[in-house]
Amino acid sequence: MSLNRSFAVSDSDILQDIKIQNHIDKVGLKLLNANKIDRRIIFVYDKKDKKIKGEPSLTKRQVIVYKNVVNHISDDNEIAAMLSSEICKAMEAHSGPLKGIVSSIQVKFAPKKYEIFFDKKSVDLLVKAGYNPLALITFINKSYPQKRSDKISTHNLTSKRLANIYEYIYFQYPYFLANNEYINNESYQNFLLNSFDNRKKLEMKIYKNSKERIKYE
Amino acid sequence: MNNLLHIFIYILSFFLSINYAYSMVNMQDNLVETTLKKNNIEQPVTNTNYNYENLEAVAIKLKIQNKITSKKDIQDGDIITFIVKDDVFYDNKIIVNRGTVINAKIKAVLKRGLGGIPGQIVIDDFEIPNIDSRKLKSHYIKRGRNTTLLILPLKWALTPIPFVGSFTNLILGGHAKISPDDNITIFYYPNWHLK
Repeated sequence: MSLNRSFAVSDSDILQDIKIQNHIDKVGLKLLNANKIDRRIIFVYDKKDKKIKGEPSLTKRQVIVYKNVVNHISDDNEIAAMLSSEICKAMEAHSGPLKGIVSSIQVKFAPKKYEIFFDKKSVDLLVKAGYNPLALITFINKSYPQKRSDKISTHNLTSKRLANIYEYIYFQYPYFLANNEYINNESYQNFLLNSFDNRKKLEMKIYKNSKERIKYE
Repeated sequence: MNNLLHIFIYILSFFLSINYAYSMVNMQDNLVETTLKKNNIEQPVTNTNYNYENLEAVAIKLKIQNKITSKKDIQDGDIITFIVKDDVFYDNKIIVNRGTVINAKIKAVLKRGLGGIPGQIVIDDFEIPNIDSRKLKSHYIKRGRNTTLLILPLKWALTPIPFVGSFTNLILGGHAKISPDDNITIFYYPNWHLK
């Protein structure tokens, strides 16, 4: 009896980890299957707190989900949003010269070049798998900090990424904005509050029926 | 009568104040309200019921109608046209005729970059008459010339000369191009039973 009790107590954390891992596997595999991604990619839940980095996706073709990132997630759509970004990186590590080694190097050393490209692909993955792509906005808005400038940075300003995602959803998947399930979500409202100038720029583009690329800030 | 009027005004002001408070808390997306909500927008197609057990695949060979390049003139969402190169048979019947014009969508475009990064064009959402798009494996990516493999040895060779090695970072990758000469093959899996 005492053995059972000690086993149960000591294993509660493990059981919790297994539960999280199973859930991440379920969402991740659904993303892969729904999008017919015929490349092996695995998902690993890591309890260590680390900065959001894409290296494991590139080198080992596996998506590492860190605990401090999981803490930001509030629903399945956001889990899918987080995983889809990393899946895009892992897919890049499966293609190109030397079995993806060269592509991995390129993504690792020039992440800024690929970020918005991957964000758009992430939106496609989410929609095809039946998830709401607006979760990518809510997830990034609450988990990525805003730098002062991206002129000499290796990453884009988070506000720029969010504006590009919003524009992509607006033109490619307007259904989700017209039937917005996230309109009362605090993170989404915070995005709306912070993206006023960028959305004004998009509004001008729409009214002018322009095809020019907007320089978001 | 006056009392009734007062009660009406109180009730009206109560609802107006609630409405104002609500609007202060929940910012509406005016852009969406004014431009999207008037239109009847269809829900995008999802692929959540699948069974990939069956191995039978039918190749559909295509060529693009007009040349496109990641250098200019294309962006996400653009519709481009392809032509079916050969008759497509399944069960000894033609399911797609040679010369059929089909549409597909540009999903994403990556411009070429420094350090030999090639441009990329991603195409999907092929619309073929009488074929369920969920039974297609059609995600097509075209990359430009990857010059990183040239840059890395050159950079290492020039590194002993101060600063010179770094100049190799300025070498650009190639633009992604799809021309009518390119053979594009997508696959149709007629027996992928959707649950």
